Amino acid sequence: MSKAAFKGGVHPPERKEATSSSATQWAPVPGRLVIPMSQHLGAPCQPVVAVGDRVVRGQVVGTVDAMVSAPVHSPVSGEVTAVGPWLTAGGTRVTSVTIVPDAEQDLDSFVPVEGDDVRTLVRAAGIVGMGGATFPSAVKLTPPKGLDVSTVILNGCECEPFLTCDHRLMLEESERVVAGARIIAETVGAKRVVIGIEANKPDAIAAMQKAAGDGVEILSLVTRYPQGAEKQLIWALLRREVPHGKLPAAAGALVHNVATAVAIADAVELHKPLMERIVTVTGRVARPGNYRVLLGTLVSDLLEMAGGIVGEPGRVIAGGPMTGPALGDLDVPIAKGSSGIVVLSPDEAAPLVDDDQPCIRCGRCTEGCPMFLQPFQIGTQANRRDWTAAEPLHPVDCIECGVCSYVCPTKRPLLQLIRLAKAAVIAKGAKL
Amino acid sequence: MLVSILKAVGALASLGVIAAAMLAVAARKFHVEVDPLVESVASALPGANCGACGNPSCFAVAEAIVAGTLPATACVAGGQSVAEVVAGLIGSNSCEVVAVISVRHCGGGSNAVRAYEYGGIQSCNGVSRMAGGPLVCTTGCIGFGDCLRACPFGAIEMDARGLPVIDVVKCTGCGICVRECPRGQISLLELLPDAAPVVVRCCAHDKPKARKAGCSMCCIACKKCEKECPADAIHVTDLLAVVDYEKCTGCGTCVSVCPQNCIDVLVSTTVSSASADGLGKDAPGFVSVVATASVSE
Repeated sequence: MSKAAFKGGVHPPERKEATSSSATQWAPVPGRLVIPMSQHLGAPCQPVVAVGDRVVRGQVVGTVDAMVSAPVHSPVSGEVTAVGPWLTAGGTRVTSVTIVPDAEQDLDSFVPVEGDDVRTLVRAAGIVGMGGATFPSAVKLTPPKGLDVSTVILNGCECEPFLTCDHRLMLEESERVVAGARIIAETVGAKRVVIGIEANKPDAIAAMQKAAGDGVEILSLVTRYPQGAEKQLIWALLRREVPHGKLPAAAGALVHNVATAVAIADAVELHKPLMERIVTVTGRVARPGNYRVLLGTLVSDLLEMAGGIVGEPGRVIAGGPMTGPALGDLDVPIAKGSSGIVVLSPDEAAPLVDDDQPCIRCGRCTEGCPMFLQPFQIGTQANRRDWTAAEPLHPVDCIECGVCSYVCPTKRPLLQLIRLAKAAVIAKGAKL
Repeated sequence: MLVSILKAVGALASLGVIAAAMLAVAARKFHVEVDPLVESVASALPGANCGACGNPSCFAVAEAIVAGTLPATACVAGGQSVAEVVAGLIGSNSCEVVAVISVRHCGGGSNAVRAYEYGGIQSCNGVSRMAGGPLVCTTGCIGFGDCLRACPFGAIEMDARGLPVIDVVKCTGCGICVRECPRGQISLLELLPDAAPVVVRCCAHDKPKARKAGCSMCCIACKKCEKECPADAIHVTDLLAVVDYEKCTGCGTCVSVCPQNCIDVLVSTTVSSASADGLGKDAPGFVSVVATASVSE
């Protein structure tokens, strides 16, 4: 068994046992769905329905012509009751369509998407990177001219603690993952398909090996965060480094999440738009588990479906605890990139700190940084607001994994400082 | 004992003499001729190297002014007085400076409702990246004082409400705070004519009801100021009172009638702007021009 890994990183407590053996179940249809018009990176959609309109499952409710974008669909049949700004998990208010579903729902039928080739279908189905980055997949399936993508990598690492949605997907829908991988490889003309899975999921590795067949390799990876980050995954599997400021295609690789691969297979073979996803609901909830959730379900409703919060909530995190934002309001919708909802008790939640913490020069952030940066140095320059000094330390290369903040013994808010430096250096006109 | 002390003193003294000789030679040999005009212009400029004009230093500006690539009014922070001195030095006539000052369009501070509990770097730009900022109000002052740290003239101080108070005397209108403020783009901080008599302490454009839920001090778009203004100088545009400073006479009617106390006296002979900040018609020294306004209401 291969023990491939990247350099750096950390291994936080996994905490996956609560949900890793519970089979995916449908979350009930909630009383209302709120569909944000921007669930992806790129241009936000414009709503194409109005208050009072009837919509059916699979119907487009928002779309836009921009190249980097993805349309959104109604996951239910029902009536549009509101169109207006709504708070999202990211904290911004986004134009959203509120739909009250009919009492009777047929979740097996939907309006099929139309198209002749893979890219058109993937675009029309509104598929985005479902690992959390939410970059429109159709754009990724069109690599820049002159770059030869020889290897398609599927990301089954799921290196974030607590989350098990990709784990369950690989167990339960192994064939669909492989089917999606083959479609992607064929579309971009790649000869090799590699699916990387962390070694802490031996059952998923076994199930995927069984489903793989010819031309699809399943590789086991060392369990370490952030193994699932694009550049780290490419290095671990192919021993190729993505050049500074370049796309993975420059290293001959294309990385998609396993859930995205399944969505692509559904779009191409079944003409099914992206309307639901698997969400891990875990931590201090009565019934932790993996739920197949209609997009637009509010987090408050989803927590109710999972039996509600147990005890005093300390923090509710959208996504994994390493990168996910803590929610200030639970009435935010589940979107295409929502992989989990983690409820932490007050003791488990990291204490709130301000920026007065001194650096003790232990060097742990530098050892941990998977991009080989010196977070403590960038943090110091950011504290001084000296962007000229910060620029040669390459804050723009930061992948915002949060390892530096996690390992810092004095709990300096390093990632936040680096983000500040990154924005300032980009504003100064540095190339990404 | 004495000998070794003398030896040490002698050694250091001779080192000093040698170094002095080297410096004297170097000063002659590597002497750089500087246009005396550039030096005099440079000494007329404030010398804070604030960067407000977009140039790297005051000396670089002086060189550019003498070379003719920048006008005599190039120094944003120096204002009219510096421009006149510079114009006199280089023999130019055109030195009309449009004087501006920076003002804050927010009266929220501790009255603004927080959207979440925050721990992290004490910087407005830092917290703005987290869910759009810690306030329910998406336009109001966050209050960590990035403007204060950026101000090269020490014209900004935080008050008890957690709001930056801009000293209209010290403010040079350089605009650095406006650029530094994460909400400067949506005119939380704005450059106004330096004789602006009043200022509206709100810059929200969302629905007044939603706005009120986030902050008790906001403009509620009631249009009282618009109706009462004798000079037709204040209008509720896009759900916010906006002053037309071309027409404003500084009579103070709007300040008197505002039920939210969200219009402040800014520049006046009787009221000091710092003590008026946030008090509206209750500012010490302010004489309400419509004394019966609240009664007849």
